[in-house]
Amino acid sequence: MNSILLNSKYIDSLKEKYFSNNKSVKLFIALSDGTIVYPKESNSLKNSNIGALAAGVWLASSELSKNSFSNTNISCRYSFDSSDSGIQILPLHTLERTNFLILVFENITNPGWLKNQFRLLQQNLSEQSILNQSTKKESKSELLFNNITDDEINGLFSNLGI
Amino acid sequence: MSFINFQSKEINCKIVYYGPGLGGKTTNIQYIYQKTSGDNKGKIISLNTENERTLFFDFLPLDLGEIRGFKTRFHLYTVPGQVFYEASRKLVLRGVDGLVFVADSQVERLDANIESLEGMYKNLAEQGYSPEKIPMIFQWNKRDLPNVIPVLELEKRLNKKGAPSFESVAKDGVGVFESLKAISKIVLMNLRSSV
Repeated sequence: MNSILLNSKYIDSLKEKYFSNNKSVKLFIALSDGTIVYPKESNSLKNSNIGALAAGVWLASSELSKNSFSNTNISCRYSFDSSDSGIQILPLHTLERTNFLILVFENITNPGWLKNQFRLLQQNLSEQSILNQSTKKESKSELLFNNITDDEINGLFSNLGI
Repeated sequence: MSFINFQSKEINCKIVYYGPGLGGKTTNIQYIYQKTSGDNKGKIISLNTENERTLFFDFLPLDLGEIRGFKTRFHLYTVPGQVFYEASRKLVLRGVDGLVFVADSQVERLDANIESLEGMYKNLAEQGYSPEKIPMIFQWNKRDLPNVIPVLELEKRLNKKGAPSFESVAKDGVGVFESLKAISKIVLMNLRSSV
């Protein structure tokens, strides 16, 4: 996994750089399957929905575009916004997969400037991510858990009150 | 595709409930939502049509406990069962770590079960997955109804590779958590780490 995307402090610094920590702006990073990796919060379940929905609309829009455009090799963004509030999603390409950069903004006086900053952030992160990955050494994989007992699974679910 | 964060020792996995329309996929997730304690579940999302049929997907994030030092989170999805929504089903399958095939046990739904299962294998293959390598279990749902196919017949017609299977009455919760625990176990034992 790309370590840049998991480095919360680094992403925090980029957020400060591009958005001056504007409280009306929320930034999320989701993996291709919708798993949110930024921000890291102690109770991040509420952000899970954002990741699942953002990945869903992006994938659905991509499929729709394949059926609609003759040239499918275009760089797209997803926007759902009014004149001062909205959601924008940009792809974050790495060597392994396409992840998602999600911007949620509310009561912004200059959303055009904000979206431009968002694109700059995307470019910065995409370059860093690919650079970061291209130096990665080849690795082999092995099973994380060899044997899991029924008791361990029951213990896992006891957290849910089951 | 599962996501393992070794820095924070977290595991995220995606489980998809697949099967024919009105078979009980959403009912499974709704039951899990109702019966789990508040702090460890997220909000259930249902993208439905006006008449409560799944349009795109249902989604429920669950924070399980720790296993061998790893915090685990499961993302449960359902696909829309109606034949019309094939394109949506393909999208929901992306990144899947484990499948629960919810079959409708009623005699008149056998063809729909077979069609759905074949569609699932085809959709998996189209996206580069080897269907035989994806952890999977079967759930024979609606066992409380009078006109059900014998389990042995369902096993023979649908579960040709002998995957784990469970009888269920999802609306009453019978077999729901047994199925979820079983697929969770197989998915976790299938996780690979880079070393």
